[in-house]
Amino acid sequence: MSNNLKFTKLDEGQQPPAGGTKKDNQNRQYYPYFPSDSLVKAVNLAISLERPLLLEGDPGCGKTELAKALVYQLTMNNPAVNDKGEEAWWPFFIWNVKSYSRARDGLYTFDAVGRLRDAQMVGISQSLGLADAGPINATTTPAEGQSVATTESTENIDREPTLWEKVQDPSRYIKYGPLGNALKETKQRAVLLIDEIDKADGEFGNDLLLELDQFYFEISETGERIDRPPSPPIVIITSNCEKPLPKAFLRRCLYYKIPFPDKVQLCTIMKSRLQAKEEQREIFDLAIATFQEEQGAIERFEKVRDAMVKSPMSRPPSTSEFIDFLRALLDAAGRGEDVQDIADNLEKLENSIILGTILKTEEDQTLYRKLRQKEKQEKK
Amino acid sequence: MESELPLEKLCEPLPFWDLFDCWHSHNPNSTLEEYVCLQRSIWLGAVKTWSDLKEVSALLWVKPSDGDRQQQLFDRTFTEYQKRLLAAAPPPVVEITENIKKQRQDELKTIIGQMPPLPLRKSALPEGDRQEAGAVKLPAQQRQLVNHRWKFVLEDLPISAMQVKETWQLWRQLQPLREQEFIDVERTVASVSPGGYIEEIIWQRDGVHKVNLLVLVDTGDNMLTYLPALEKLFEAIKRNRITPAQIYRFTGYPWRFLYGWQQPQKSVVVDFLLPQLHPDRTILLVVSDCGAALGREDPEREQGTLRFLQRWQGSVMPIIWLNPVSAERWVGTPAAAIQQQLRGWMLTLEQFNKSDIGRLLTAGGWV
Repeated sequence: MSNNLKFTKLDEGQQPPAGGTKKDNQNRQYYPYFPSDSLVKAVNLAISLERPLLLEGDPGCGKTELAKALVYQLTMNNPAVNDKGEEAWWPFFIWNVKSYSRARDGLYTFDAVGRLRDAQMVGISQSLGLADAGPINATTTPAEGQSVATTESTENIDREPTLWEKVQDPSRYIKYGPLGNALKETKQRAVLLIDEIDKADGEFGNDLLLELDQFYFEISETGERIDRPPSPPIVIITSNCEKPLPKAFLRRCLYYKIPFPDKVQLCTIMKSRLQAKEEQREIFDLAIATFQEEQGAIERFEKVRDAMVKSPMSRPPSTSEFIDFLRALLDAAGRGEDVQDIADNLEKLENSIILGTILKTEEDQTLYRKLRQKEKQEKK
Repeated sequence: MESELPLEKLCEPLPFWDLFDCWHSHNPNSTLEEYVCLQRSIWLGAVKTWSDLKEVSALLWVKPSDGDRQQQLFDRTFTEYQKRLLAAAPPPVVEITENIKKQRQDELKTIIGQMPPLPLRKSALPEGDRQEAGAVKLPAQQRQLVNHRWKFVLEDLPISAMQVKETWQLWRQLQPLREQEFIDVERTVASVSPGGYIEEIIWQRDGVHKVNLLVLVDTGDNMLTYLPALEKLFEAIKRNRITPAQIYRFTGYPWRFLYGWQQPQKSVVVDFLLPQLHPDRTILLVVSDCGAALGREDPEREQGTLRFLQRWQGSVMPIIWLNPVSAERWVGTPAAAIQQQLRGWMLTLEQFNKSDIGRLLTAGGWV
């Protein structure tokens, strides 16, 4: 595998700016990312074997951000400039799967209504004798035995097609989806992120077997075939484990489960994601502190998480919720609230409004309060 | 774990095939394709040490499972395989020289010198030093259970979370399918007049390979005794279990009007219905005795039915006529002429059940 297509662990200096982000030409934000060694190996293996990489893990553990981190690295390792002289970002397509998504939508959509509307406009234009109507006496479909008239000379080949020409050519009504665009990309190995694939119907994965295995597809409306590109896209698929995926689909994927980060990793992530202003420094340090007599935010968060993991019906909070939790603390400091008040909040988290940033249901919050009460009683 | 893999294993034509075989015996869902991926990974140089091998094969072979059971099974399988392979490796050949012999003898003497003396037999001990084993009753406090709390984790449930996820679909309630229709763009565009007016939007049903079933039922007096036999079929169409399908009533023979099955007072004009039928996808099923129940000739009915067939023949795929009256009674009635016209597509109930469409409907329990 070429070094330019390799995924590595970046040093702090090579990461996107901490707190702030570097935006690409589609205004996507890129955050610092700290993968484990095994995740790095998994990504590189998927790139070498040209197989999709299926990532599972709790919501908010960094599955989607991995694809962005990969795109960021590929862009930095392969600097290029586009026609406008701007930095050219690595081709990156995101397909956010919904419960009503169909596999075909990711490849292309055909604007049948638009074609119908244009056909109607052609007829009206003809009746009014307008220039855009096409050849005189031309109908929306050619008569039997006649081919489509091409009245324009080659000099005008770059001009906008007339409505009549547009109606004759169904391919003008095709709009490619993320997977279709990724397969049409011939210059580079595009990165395709299929996000939250388990949201879709159970057979969704099976409908993509051919495209993800052979990397080609056909457009039934025009009969066109989009062949396999010289370098197939790098496909990263994420799942929240809400529904099982078809076995035939799983067989074609590499599978990696992203574990919840440990304390050290959590500290690194927080420091890189949150930029504290000077007046917030004290509370920031308090939050990041991993060992002190009065428990810091990380300790408190881990206790909450451990309690929820043991409870079968609860949903343990994730990394992104911890980021929100810290942001809430920093915001409080930013509003000029006393640090001591905030420390008290942390201690009395079960009664604080900030608890809502990490426990999202009443049942989970009630359970946490009961556990805290028991803890206090045991201490006495 | 960081030890290098044996070179001869890496250079085999099918490297670590035995590992895959071992895994496959525990997990029959694994496929050859997954082994080929491991082979390719080895050739690409991604596997050099035992930990590389474990990581890569886990990435390729372990799939999502409830409570990480597959991962645990894989870990066990790999550990056993590794132990077996290392144990089977021939021990290094050491040339036993005189020096080594002497060295080993010295080692033995040292070990023997360090061994503790054997304990004396009980009978050899003085009486006061003998000890007997006996039960000791602990005080009540110590006998109390230390931990009364029940610890409950998801894995203790008799049914796994993955099983719940896989079987939830069985709990889904059947909903009647609404008819999915899409604009047949090509035919609609072709129908746009030179004035630009869309005269008609032509719809096509979802799914190119579906067929539409159109059932016309004779509800005349002669058919009253036969209709209960087909009640299930009518009910299935009414409740959208057979879909897409429509059912209409008529008496005698269908001509200008048909009547709704559920709303008999509501008429449908045949002239409006026929253009809506797709000629390549509509099957017409007519349920009528065709005059066979009367047992006599009826020229008017015969002619009317023939005209009906001629009119409908271009608009539907096959016309299947289900005549519940037995075939012997068709002779001398309009049914015989119609059967000739249909070239054998007038069927008794028994023949219908044996036909393709009949078998399909029987399989669904609707006939």
